[in-house]
Amino acid sequence: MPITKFPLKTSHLSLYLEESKGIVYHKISHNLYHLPTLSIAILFSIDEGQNQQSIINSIAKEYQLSKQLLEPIYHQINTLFSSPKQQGTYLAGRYPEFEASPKQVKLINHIQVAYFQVADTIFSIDTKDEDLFIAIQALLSPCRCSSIKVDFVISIAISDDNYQIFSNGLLVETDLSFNHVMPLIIDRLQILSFQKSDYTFCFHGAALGTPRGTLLLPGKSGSGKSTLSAVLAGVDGGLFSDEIIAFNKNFELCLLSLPIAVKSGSWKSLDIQYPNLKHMPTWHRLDGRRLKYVWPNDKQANKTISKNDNAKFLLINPKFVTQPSNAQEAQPQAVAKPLDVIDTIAMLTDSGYQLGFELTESGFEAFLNFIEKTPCYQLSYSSSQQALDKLDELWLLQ
Amino acid sequence: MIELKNEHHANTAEVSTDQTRRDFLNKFGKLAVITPVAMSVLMTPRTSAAPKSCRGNGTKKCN
Repeated sequence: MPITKFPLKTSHLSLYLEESKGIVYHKISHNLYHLPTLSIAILFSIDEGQNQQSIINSIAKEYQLSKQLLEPIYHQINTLFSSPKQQGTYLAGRYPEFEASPKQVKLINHIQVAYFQVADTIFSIDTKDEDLFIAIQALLSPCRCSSIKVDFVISIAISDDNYQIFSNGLLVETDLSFNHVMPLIIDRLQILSFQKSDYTFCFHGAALGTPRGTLLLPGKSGSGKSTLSAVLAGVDGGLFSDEIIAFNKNFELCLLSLPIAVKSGSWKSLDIQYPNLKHMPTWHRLDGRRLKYVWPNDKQANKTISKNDNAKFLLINPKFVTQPSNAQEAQPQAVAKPLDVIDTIAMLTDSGYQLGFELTESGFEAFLNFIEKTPCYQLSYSSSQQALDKLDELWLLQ
Repeated sequence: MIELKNEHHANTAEVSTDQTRRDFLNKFGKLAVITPVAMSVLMTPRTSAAPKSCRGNGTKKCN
């Protein structure tokens, strides 16, 4: 559906309509709001200058709704018309070690130290724990580099089987067991790398470059995106990242070459495509989920693909559905439900996001234009093959 | 591209804006009865944070 920008009399609000729904950008707080139909009707009336009683009476009468229902809704919408100061800044989400210099940091172990590069960011990782150091070197060997110009010094200390992680001299994780360390290290490398880049919008999800275009797989943890990206990376293309979709202002993706985290529920389904998976060590997330790491078969060199290169995008919100035991009730094929622009933005933000700039009206409109031009679907599937088959169909529609 | 409604001419913009409001309400008014939530925040500095897979486990939270 096309998005229409609707001029309001209230200068600090911008309204964008898509059929029955709308998005409001508040120019003072830099907040973005999703409004359903009724709220838009109330917004229009307040913007016209009508008073509370008149608005509630007329809407109650027109749509046969109770005033008790309308009053709290009116009050919420009315808050948009005040001019509160911006509470906080989008730039406050950078990790604390950006404020600490790596130059003064003393290594815990000068012998067991290795250097790694992710995107344009250089890390050193050192620890006295030999087993951990061996595991880190083995897993991150594709990232090894020889540069000594380090952006972040990651040191892992151990005391009585409790591990601590320091980054540029700051304690960032504590009270960890051995099995917890690797996922936290991988996460930190990922996050510091994209936060150091010139990103504008970052969303939780996987991104792959395929011969047919760039595939975005945003979604919450556990939706199936990492497993699906592991399947696709081995079949159809290169992986930008299995966790982070980070765009710069031109909507070029940031390449974050790191191994894919595969949760235990997917180990069996991937063991043919990744036969070494069974030999990989098991790590634990803090929430108890077990995972292993694998590298995609085709590791791309560090580069970005520009949308200006006429790269097509396809956005898929994966939704893995466990098959029922009764074969007759099983879903025979994947189902792709088109998502409109506002639903896509709501899904993206709900899945996890971070902004690398103060959200401006023009910045938001650039993002809106990108989503409007990108085909977006929610894909329900019960097997990787179902997903692959449906993706083939969706690419052909572009 | 985002379509901009009635950007340039004040008088015709006012008439057209009013008509657009009426058109919106006429077209979608019936949907108003089934939308209980006033508004939801999509983006705000408070909720902008590095996306992570870890969900925490109650006693041990993710940083």
